[in-house]
Amino acid sequence: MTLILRRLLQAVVTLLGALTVMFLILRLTPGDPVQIMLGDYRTPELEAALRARYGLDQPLPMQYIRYVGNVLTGQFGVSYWRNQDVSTLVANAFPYTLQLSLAGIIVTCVIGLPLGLLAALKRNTLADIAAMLIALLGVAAPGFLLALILIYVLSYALGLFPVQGAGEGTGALNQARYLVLPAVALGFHSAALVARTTRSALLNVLSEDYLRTARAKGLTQAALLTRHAFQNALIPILAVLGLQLGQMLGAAGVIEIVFNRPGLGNMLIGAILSRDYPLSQAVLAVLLSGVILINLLTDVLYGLVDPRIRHA
Amino acid sequence: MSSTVWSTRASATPEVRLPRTFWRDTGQALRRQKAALLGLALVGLVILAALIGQVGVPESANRTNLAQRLSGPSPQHVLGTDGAGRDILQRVLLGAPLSLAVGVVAVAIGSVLGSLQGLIAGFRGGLLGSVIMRFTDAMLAFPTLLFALAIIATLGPGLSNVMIAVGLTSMPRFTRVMHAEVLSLRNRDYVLAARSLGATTPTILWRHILPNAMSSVLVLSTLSVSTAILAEATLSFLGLGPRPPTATWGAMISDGTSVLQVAPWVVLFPGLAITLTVLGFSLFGDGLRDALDVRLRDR
Amino acid sequence: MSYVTRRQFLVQIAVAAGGTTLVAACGPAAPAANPTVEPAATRPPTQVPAARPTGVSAVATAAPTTAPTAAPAAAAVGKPGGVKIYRVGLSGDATEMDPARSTTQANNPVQEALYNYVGRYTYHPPLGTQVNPELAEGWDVQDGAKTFIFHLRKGVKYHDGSGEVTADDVKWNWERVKDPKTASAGAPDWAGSTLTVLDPYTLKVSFEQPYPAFIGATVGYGYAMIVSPTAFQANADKWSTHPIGSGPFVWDSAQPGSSLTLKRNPDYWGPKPKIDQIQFRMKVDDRTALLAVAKGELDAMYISDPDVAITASKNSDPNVKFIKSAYGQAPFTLWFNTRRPPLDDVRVRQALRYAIDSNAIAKNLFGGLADPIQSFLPPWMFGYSDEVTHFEYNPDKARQLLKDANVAADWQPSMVSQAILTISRRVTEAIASYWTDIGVKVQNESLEQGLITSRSAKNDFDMYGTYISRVDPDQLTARFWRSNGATNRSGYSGADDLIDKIRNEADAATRARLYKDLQEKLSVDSPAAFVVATSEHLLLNKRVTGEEGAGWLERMNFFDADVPAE
Repeated sequence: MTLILRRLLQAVVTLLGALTVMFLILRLTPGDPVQIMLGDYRTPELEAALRARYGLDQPLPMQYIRYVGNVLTGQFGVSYWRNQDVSTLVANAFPYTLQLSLAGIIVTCVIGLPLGLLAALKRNTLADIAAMLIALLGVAAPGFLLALILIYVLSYALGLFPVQGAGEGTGALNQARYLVLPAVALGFHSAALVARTTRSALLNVLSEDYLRTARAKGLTQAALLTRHAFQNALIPILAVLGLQLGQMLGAAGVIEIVFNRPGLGNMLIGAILSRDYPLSQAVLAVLLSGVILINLLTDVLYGLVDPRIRHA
Repeated sequence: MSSTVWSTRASATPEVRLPRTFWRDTGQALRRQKAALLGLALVGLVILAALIGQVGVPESANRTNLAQRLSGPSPQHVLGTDGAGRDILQRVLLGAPLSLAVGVVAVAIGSVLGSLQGLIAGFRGGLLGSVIMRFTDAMLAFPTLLFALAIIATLGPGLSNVMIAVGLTSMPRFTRVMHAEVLSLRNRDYVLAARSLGATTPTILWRHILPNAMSSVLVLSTLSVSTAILAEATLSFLGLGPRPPTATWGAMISDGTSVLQVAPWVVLFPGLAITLTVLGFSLFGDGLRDALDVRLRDR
Repeated sequence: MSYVTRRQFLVQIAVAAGGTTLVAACGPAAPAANPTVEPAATRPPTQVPAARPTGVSAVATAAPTTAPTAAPAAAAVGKPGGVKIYRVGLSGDATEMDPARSTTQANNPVQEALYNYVGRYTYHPPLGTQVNPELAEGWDVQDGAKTFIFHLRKGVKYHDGSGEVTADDVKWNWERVKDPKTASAGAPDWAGSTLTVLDPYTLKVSFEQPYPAFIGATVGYGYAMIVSPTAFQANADKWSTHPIGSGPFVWDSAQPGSSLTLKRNPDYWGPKPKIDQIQFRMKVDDRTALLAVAKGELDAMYISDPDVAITASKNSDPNVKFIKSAYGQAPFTLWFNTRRPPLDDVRVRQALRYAIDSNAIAKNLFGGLADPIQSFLPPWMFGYSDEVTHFEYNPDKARQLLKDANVAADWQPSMVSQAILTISRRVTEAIASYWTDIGVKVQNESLEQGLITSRSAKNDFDMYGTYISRVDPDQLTARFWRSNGATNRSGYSGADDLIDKIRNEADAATRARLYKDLQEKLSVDSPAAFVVATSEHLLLNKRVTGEEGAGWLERMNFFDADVPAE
């Protein structure tokens, strides 16, 4: 329990540190929100007026102090472009990204775990190679390309799924229809990693001494797997799954763009490219919290699964 | 005590001999893996293509030829032409060394820095370890795009900066995996034994932890080569890729997406090139992993 | 988020037209096409069919009340008692509902449905570049285009019933644009203006200098749309989700960054739209737009990607109608930074122009959907002239000129352009390749939006290529080519006198002649290469009737468009 508390405290510190780094990266990256906004309509007077409006005419330390003050009071500011409170914008988009990431990780597991298991059991056979090849297909194509191909084949040619959107404002069942292709495009990529990790981990565990002993005592391969191997192999698999879920929260952006779904990633890419600092910072803060939380949970799970770590 | 033949030997033999034996054994084991050999062959093929691309493709391959644009595969253009009328075969060859470089350099950057961090964090633990791991958590949460944008915007667009950007973004994954490995290894019997026999920390790290953790890092590396190649493609797709007409496979694919319907070959062949490369590295990496693992090797 | 990134092309904001000054009503029978400024107005105009302009400025008025004479015949029916939902895809993200502060193109079609203009660029056939009175019944142009008197329509109500649109409201709106505190990109247009309310329905706008382009470049452009001052003052911080205007549609709901729904205004004062609802989808990718339109997920969308447009133009899918707009093409302009040698040498600039084969680019890269140009104006715009010095493709002459100018063999100029747009990438790649042919190893710096703007602001480039979409030639002139122009990327200063003369010249025919001179001057001096003019093309699902594609800035005809009820 103290471990969890300590980790929680660390998480908060991490978050604050990361927010600071983010703040700096965003401001120090070349590109000026005001110039982007005005484009070919810019004049020195207009630029100055907009800078003043967004507080960008203040020195950086002042901006930072104000930012920290606002964050501590729960205000993430107003989006430059949308002229709307960023908390509202983020809250609106978050459920879509969460849906997509979870659906993506389900796809990953559904494809990755059985293939990894199969490959480990039938090591160095044709089945092993075939399983790995299937899993690798997802890695072999960039997500945006896979997404476009899925759209062309399944949505356009066969008419099975909608081409774009998330079915906003419609029923859950209908929204699920919109979720299938993006989840596949997002989740397939991680399947290979999970399959390979599963395979490696199982093989690793299967060669451990105590399993050799168990085998020598006459336990069947299947019993070995279920009773001993899988539980121990779970650590690296969970580590990878946790990592992947965290990654998906961020990686979802490109998929969201191609499928034209609302979501944090989509919003963040737009915000970063247009240098909408308040919106970028708010989205990043949420993504960061998500990832930190997932990592925390993974670490705690480690402890539960592997007593050696818990006692360490 | 020591669970493997190798680690007993390792602690008993001077450092000089270790690598040689280690690599020879690994090589022998590797030869027994058919899939790994297939992977090696594919990687070899890609390297060969890269060599041809480096020396055998005329400079004119990047020249646009508007009258020829989007013509399908034909005797004249075996793999067809792209949206600017350039020969895709030539461009795929031209792209081989570039894409390979993106993958390998980025992973080299990410794996070395990342593993080092993970090793330190896992073995030392304590405050330093916590700081490193929290830093890693934070880095993981930063989307690749933000890093890449910050780096590319600061250093300027160009292939080498894309490599650095992609490499740095792959770093935390190595840290996490190395950290997890070290955590599970450092209390193993043979490590504890070595320590009780008075081995110094660097020795333990170098002889016992690193070799055993290496397999996971290698697995991740081989996959990361492909991830890096794909990340470059995604950056191109978002307008942050290398400057045109640089013929990386990623840039070619992203360029072809707008003609996917009418000229699928523009995407198909660089896509195939990526697939084969990824496949090669992954199969090889898997084989290497098995070969590296002494316990598996013995059976 | 605002995808400025996606389409710098057809830049931000609203619209204006090729016109010139304007006129208000010319009496019931007058069929417009009057190239001169018509002072004095008779009003109200009824039944004036707008004349289709032919290259030159068109002056025309059509009273919106009687408007769509050319409206398509058959009305779509569909399910009895159903709702007519018109699904429109936008390339960017409509983020801002305050017209004065709008900075993205995608805002424009949404705002045009919510708000009225005092005078609106025609949206219904026959299409063209005339500004028709909307909230005004007409206007008078006086004092050699120094004074404009607007006569407002009576009885126009805001959506929320907060009152009638009066001259005070128009004054408030326009002065808000002018106010430096608003930081509206439209502010510079109002320099030297004074607004006076003569009576509740009459507004006088006077300028210190003649401003004949006022109607076309300012009144008809997006910043000048009219919002309800009462509602705005009460609700400024919630305006993005509570906009109140007097237009044909009212706000319904939005999912920020992805969709936005407007409903028909049941009490609209003018001709009622046929559709009940517009559902906008934001940031639709050109690549998937074609598929979505084919599948009926979208009814209409403008696309710019030439590859997708070529595919669509071949009618590859029977469910998709492709419309190549007759108006709105934007010139692709490649500025030469004359502050940097050797680009300060006119021979070098001319050589670079001789080395570009615009015809081949238009024909092959754009499949004929773009026009090769030699001028800084696109062919559809008022003042355009093709009678300028042409730089026809001639690589030998180019090499000779470079040799004469003693250009170093290792010169590697940087060319900055927008990376993400196929439309931009294809052209710059082709140009880079042409220049490589004459021995100029150009560094093609294809950048994201943030870097582009900062490089542009610092004039840190040798060449800078982009599309500029505007409607009135005035918007393309002083700002880009006068020595003190805010975006004079070339650092050019050879035509200040001419530019000043044009700006103040009230007579349209004279102005057209002066524009011709300016085009010739810019052609000879070559501060930039003018390559092709291309536009956005409209994709329609086959169920749509009544939309012909007004041509620029994703403008749509929400009045005449019709779809079956569902």
